[in-house]
Amino acid sequence: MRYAFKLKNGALTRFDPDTALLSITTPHGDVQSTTIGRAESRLLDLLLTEPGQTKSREEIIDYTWNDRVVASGSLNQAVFSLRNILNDSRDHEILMTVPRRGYCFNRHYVVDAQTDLPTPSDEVAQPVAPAIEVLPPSGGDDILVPSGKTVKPTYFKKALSAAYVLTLGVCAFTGFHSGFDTPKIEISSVKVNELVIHAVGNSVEEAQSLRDLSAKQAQQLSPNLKGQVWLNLFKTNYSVSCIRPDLSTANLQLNSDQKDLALMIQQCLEATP
Amino acid sequence: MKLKIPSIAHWIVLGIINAACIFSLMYSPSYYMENTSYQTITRQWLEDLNQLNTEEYLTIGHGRLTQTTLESLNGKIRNATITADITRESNHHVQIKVGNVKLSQDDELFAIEKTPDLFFRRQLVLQEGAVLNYELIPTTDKKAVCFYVHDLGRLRCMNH
Repeated sequence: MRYAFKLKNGALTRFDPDTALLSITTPHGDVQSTTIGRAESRLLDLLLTEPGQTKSREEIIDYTWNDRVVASGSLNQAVFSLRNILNDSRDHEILMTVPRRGYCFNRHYVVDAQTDLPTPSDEVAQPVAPAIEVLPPSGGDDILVPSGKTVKPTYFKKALSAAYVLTLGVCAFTGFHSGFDTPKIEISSVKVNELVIHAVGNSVEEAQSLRDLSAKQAQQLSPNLKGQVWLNLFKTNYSVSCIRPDLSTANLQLNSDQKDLALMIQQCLEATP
Repeated sequence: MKLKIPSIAHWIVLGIINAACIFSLMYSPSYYMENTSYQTITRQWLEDLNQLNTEEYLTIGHGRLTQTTLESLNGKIRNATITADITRESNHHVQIKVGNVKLSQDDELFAIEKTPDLFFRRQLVLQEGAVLNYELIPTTDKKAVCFYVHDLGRLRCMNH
């Protein structure tokens, strides 16, 4: 039976009670393997059997020392030693003391034992460990990940989450800046001799319809007319804007039944008020 | 090091997305030149067939848009200056919020009340706090700028 749990710095730790081997994979991917003492190994084995469940001092001593008579100081020493190994000697977050009851292993540090994190070379040939060796008490544990998924060190997960949030923000800002949610116009263009007519509408159909109408009427115009013209029909009002060959501009506005488009285009390109 | 490969892939993808976004933000050439005064003339036929002639001047820059219009109708002249803050901007879109309006003759409405559509559009433009969306239309020459004001259904081409 093998167990896996995290340390407070995000390092993933595997523990094999059969060999008392503790393999710590740092967030940078380095693997440190240590064979811990028998007492510490038995203590850790017992506590990891039921993470979150408090084991009494008597129960621990019975299991750890196999009915040998030991002083209570031996348990204190084993706990102290194990906390040092787990870098938990200061705040006892992993190997918790339950006052007047005993000790328990913090179940929030337990993770799926089956992971594709790098393993020590002497473990490579071993069969894959069971999906979940250590089950949390009923009631759920959101730290435990589904079987078969990669368990990433906390540091990387946090950094990656932050990067995703940042990227989302940058993309949102870019989208906001690019104005993708703003109203859009459609332009449909046609060239009649030296004249380019751009019909502007709120939809492609609207623009194409206006383009066809203006192209038809523009046939009446002098072939010498040059420049660019933009047309729009808003309600019943035509807007005609033009850029003449000398790059001067003019704009005309009138009701659609007042004049025809061809005349407006000609006036826009030629007239000066 | 199985962890590093997917992790690096994540970072690479995120890096590419961010770089693309930042690039598109940095490289967004505007269809107009900042702090350049554009001008144009407009002729508008009112419903009573009178002709309203206007000269319009427009400057965009430093987050502000200033537009001055000189109108003449039947020998009467008046001017209006609108100063607006740019609230949103991209290479093809400018959204403004009208901040200040100056009219030469507040109570002089000419005869445009006879053209209700023009009258009401004028009222919207001259309202402090009004939000207007300008969509810039690409032109072949940087000396000219064309735009469509969505809120007014107004098309304009201007040059400098």
